[in-house]
Amino acid sequence: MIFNAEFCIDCKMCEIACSFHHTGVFNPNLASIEILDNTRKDIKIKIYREKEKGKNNLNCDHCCGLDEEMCIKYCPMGEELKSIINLSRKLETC
Amino acid sequence: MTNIKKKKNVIKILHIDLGNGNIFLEKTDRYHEWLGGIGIGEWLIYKEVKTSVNAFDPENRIIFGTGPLNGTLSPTACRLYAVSKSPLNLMCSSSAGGFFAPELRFAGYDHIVIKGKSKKPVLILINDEDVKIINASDVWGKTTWETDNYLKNITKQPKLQVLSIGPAGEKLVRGACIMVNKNRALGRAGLGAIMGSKNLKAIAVRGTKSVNIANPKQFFSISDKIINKLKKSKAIKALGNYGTLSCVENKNLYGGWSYKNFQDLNIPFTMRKKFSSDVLKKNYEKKILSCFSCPIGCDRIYEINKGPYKGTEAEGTQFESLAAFGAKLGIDDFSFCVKADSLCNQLGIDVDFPAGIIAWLMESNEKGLIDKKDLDGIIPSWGDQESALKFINKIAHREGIGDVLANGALYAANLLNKKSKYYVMNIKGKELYEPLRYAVGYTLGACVSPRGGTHTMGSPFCESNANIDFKKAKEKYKIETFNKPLEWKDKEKLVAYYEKLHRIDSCLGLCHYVTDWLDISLPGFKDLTDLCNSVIGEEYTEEEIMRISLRIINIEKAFNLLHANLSKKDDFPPERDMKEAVPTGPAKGFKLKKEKFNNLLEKYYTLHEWDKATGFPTRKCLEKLNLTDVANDLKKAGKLIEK
Repeated sequence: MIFNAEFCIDCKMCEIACSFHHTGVFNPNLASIEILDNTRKDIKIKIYREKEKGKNNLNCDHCCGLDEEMCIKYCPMGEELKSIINLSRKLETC
Repeated sequence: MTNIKKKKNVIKILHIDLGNGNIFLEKTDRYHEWLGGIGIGEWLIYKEVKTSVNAFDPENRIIFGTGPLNGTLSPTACRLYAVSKSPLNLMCSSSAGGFFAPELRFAGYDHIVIKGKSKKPVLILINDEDVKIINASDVWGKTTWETDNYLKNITKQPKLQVLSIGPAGEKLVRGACIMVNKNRALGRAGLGAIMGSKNLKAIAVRGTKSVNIANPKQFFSISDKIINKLKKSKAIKALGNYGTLSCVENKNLYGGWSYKNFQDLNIPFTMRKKFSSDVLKKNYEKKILSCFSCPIGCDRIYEINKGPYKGTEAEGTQFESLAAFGAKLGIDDFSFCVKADSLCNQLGIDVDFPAGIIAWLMESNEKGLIDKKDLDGIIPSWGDQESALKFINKIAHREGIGDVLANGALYAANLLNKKSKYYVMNIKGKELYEPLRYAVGYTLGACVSPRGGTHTMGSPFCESNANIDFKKAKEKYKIETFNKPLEWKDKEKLVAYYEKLHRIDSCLGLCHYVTDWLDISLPGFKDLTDLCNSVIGEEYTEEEIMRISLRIINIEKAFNLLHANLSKKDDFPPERDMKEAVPTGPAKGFKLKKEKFNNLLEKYYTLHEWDKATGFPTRKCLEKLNLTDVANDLKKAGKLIEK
């Protein structure tokens, strides 16, 4: 699922935090969230969910076992990212 | 002090010889006493580049380095370092943010050491283990932005991270820089010309591996604490709101501008109104951006919507461009600063280099010391945007008089009119960005910096920081004058603190903004030591970390004595700053009297256990730091004090 993310400042803290949740190491290539920033003016966020078969089969599990999703916790614009993550959950359920 | 115990942190160095095409990977734990980043880079330059080697000789090296925190979630762990013997024969390290450094670590490397000279222009492509040297004939002569796009197109890898030189680097312009991700510069040291001398146009990297940390629990505990401190900091909030233009109000308050080639350190009311950070944000800011793993967001895209530069868009225009192309040239138009900054980024030339040269030309013209016939018919006068843009292009392409100017303002003044040398505002031959007569500690930091005039290798910021927490600052600095910019007492102690702290964040891969430089409550040595230990699984003490920083500072000192034959006179401010009092504003009437500055310099040398009469290190100081070989090198050159 791809979302417009005007608020995103492209720091990629969500990607590296997410990879740590899934693998215990830092590697943006092993995350279930991806910042699409080919032009840094028009940033989009891709969330890999179960239906979509993410990279290396790493799909968003809402950081099962943690109080808060790692991507939201470390995003400097956490509230805005939270809306996207919650929307992605809703869309999948639908 | 005890010697640091042997540590186990293994680093990976990619060695590339462009002369014969040899590439090999070295895995080593030999550099535990240099930590990482500039520590390892500068030691390798000291060890491997002999004094007989000139900057543009194939035997010179250029080293790109990361620190152990790059690639982790540690806030601001984005900085890339490049180190080389510079065109002025100085030990020059330069740092840039962006995304290259973490990508290099994701590809499995900590440093790249490049030596030799390719027969033809080349590019280096790194894709994890796959390292190739390929022909650069399609992009030789092109701008840094075109080169970045070209590499992404031919590799079909949009996530490729690129550093490149533009026409200025290819033509060995002394102030050529290396651009990282198009808009971040490894600047102020002429390192672009070193790449050009090796016929190396660009390096591109893509990495898919992982960066591990030794002790995650400890890492997240410290890292989270730092992130919370950043969130609470007023200075960081302002940086997030306005980018580096946030310092405009402080510059007004203390008088820290470089108006008309530093004639005044205060700017006229009309310029002040146009350069207000709120006005600039409202009229030009298009998007807020950040570097890798940085929650601050001080990067910006600025867009020009009207006037002659309509349609110009630039990422990364900093306060430095406002000061250099605005105040210094008497141009009260930010859209020109964005245009000039964008042009410099594309041509691969350091902002301060042409700005310093043009400011000297404008003042020499004002004083009747230069003839337009010598300048290809261009009359450089204050506020003239068109002639400034012409000179930037001429310098970067070495076209016409640009061929002379490309060797720097001092060189050009010697050729064109020696009387104009007084107006070449420089330290150690390098064009100056820093206004000096408004803060004594800041001045000392800029004057003793190894690469020649810079505020990022020891200059404190607390002297001109209106929002400083007085109690905390007094506890940390242990002096009374930390917030009194025009007082002389104890300023050497502030410089000694920040030159050490900034060497350490530069070893680790962090940005200065995460340290207590702008806000006293942010990390100092303790937090940086703990963070480092949690990532590499070592047990450095704060004392050991400080000792590493002193080793680095002494290596820089020794290199510059041996290679550039520097002496005490090279650590003084430009003549104007010592002779002329500031005409208006908060620092009105202040000048850096030579005798007073000499006293301060001697105190600074004494703090380092260097000889106060010459600035040469003592054997005792170097042996304490386990640098006996360096002491012996200096002894042979007659630049060691045997005590």
